[in-house]
Amino acid sequence: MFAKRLIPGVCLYLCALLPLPSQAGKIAVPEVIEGVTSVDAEALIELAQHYPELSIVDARQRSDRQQGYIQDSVSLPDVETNCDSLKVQLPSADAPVVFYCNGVKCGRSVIALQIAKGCGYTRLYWFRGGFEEWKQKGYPFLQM
Amino acid sequence: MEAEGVPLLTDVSMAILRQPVSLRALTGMVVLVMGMLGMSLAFVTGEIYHRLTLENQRLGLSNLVGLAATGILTELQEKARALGLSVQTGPGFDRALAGHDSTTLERLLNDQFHQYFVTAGEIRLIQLRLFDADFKLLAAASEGARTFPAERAACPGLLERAEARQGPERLQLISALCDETTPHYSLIVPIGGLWVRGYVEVIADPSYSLESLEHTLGMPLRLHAVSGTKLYQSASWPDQNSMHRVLAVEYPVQGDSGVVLRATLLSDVATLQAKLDETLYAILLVATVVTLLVAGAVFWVLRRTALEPIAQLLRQLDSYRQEGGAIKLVNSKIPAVKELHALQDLYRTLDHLAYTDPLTLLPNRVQFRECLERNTVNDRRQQAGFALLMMDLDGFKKINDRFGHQAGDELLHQVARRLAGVMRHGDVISLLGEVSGMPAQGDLVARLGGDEFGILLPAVTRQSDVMAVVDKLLRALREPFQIGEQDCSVGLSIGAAFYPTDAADLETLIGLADAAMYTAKRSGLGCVFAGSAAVSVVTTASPPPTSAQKF
Repeated sequence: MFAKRLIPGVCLYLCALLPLPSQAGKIAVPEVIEGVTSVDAEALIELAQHYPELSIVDARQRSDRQQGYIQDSVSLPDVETNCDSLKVQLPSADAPVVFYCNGVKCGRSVIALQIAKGCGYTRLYWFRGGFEEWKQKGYPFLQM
Repeated sequence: MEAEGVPLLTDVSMAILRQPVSLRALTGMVVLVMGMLGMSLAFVTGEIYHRLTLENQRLGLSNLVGLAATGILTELQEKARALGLSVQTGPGFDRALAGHDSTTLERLLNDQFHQYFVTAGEIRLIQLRLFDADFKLLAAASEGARTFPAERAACPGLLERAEARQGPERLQLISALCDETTPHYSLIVPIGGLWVRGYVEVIADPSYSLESLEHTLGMPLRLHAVSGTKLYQSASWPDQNSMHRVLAVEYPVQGDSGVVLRATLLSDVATLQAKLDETLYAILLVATVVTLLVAGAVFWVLRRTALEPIAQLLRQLDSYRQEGGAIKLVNSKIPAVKELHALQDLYRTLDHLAYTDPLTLLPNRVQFRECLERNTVNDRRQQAGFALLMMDLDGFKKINDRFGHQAGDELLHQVARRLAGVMRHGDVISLLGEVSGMPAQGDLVARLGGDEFGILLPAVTRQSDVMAVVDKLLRALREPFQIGEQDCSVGLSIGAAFYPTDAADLETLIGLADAAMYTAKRSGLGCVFAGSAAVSVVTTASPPPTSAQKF
């Protein structure tokens, strides 16, 4: 009798311990991010012409990156983004850097930008349309 | 011989056409023609349905082919893009490009070209060309001699369009589908990412990719260039004799400057054709049954409402020609058609006018004469004989002269009523305006003209029987007639003759009766029998007036 009552409780406890899928990137995506300049695909290209040292960070998970990515971008998923990993990928805190992920509904680039901002990076750009806009406008992309 | 035969045949045809056609045959022909028109309409409708269904099927398949072709060309673009971008991954490519090392670049391009051309096989490459950022040709790789001049792309104007772009547009892919003797697909891909360092032009054969339509749609395929050159044909393409079992769907593949090639696919529509044929036969069967039913119903209605009444009228009118029109319309049906009803009424009126005296409503001389003739004919069979009485009023002329024709007419009318009243009931014909049609079987009194009357007494052969009738007649006229406010009297002179005792010939018989009547009038006797030596006299209470009395 006691065992019967115990089993559901144990099951609920075990379920609570199961690892849930990552909810990273599933945040409310703002229109603008304070201290970050938003750009579209064309502005990104113009930016690259002005800043040859421009870094492009792909904040998506690597599985998403397999669908295609902007050439010369580096892969740094938001879940792996921290001051140390940023320091490895980016030359300096005042170097221009663009973050992007899948599209306007994707929050990974937002999260990565918030982290970068916290780490003291100052020249931050946000390609809000992400890979979806890039592909839709017919710009070339590479696939793994 | 033929030259003579044709006019002869025409003459025969015209002669046949000039022959009168019966109303029944004409109605039948009209119904038949209407039925044939109905059947033709059903057949044409079925054919139109058949064609529209096939056309609809063709349109649907054409849309399907269009979707599949668009998908294949999109896939071609994806593969060409991937191929173009992969060129830059070759070892030493960046350095060779930066140094415009054409030899190295040519080798790298050739490696890429042959890798795709030989091993990948997903697209049929025609040429790979590498341009610097200013669209200057650096290297090219191709199989055989299918190359293009350095200053122009595979498709006219494409290179110029790519070069004319400014700003971010230069990073966009640009492609064209064109027909340069054979169809070509050309895609210009920027290399170097955000920092464009050059362009790769991938030139491929679109017909090779479109060959997969055969497997995608599961239909035999044939590709033609605009010039008509056959580019591809499935092994399962049927021979010309089997083409009627398939539906050919042609889809024009559009390029920038029009049609680049035409794809024709064959859909097996044998099952659909069989179903359509079944539908057509069903429509024709139903149409046949309905047409026959409607034609039969129309013919039946026309026959009941028009043909039979007309035929009956014709028979009646024909009877006048053959038998003198003595047949009565005893069983004539009332026609349903208004015009025919009016026609029958008209016929009755004309019949009445032809055989009735309009003043007295007694049978006229024509009807009296025909009755005499019929009784003569009947007598030959029955040997019954009859008596003929010819009568003339005495004193009528004076009344007529003194009081006018109107008074005379009124007098004649009243005399006629009284004479008719003497006749046995049912024997007087036409007194009430009844249309004649049957032979008279009883006594008949008729006005023969002026103040002359005639009486036919069938089966009466004895003077005593005649005298009894004469007595009744004279008694009937004995009472004065009321003409307006005047009373007046007239007498009656009667001449009688027996058939066939006095004469077997009708003309002679009439002549004898007339002569006897005039004898009676001259002698002042009431009635004189012809053919008898002695003159029979009927004693009357009212002697014939010699002058107008008591006016």
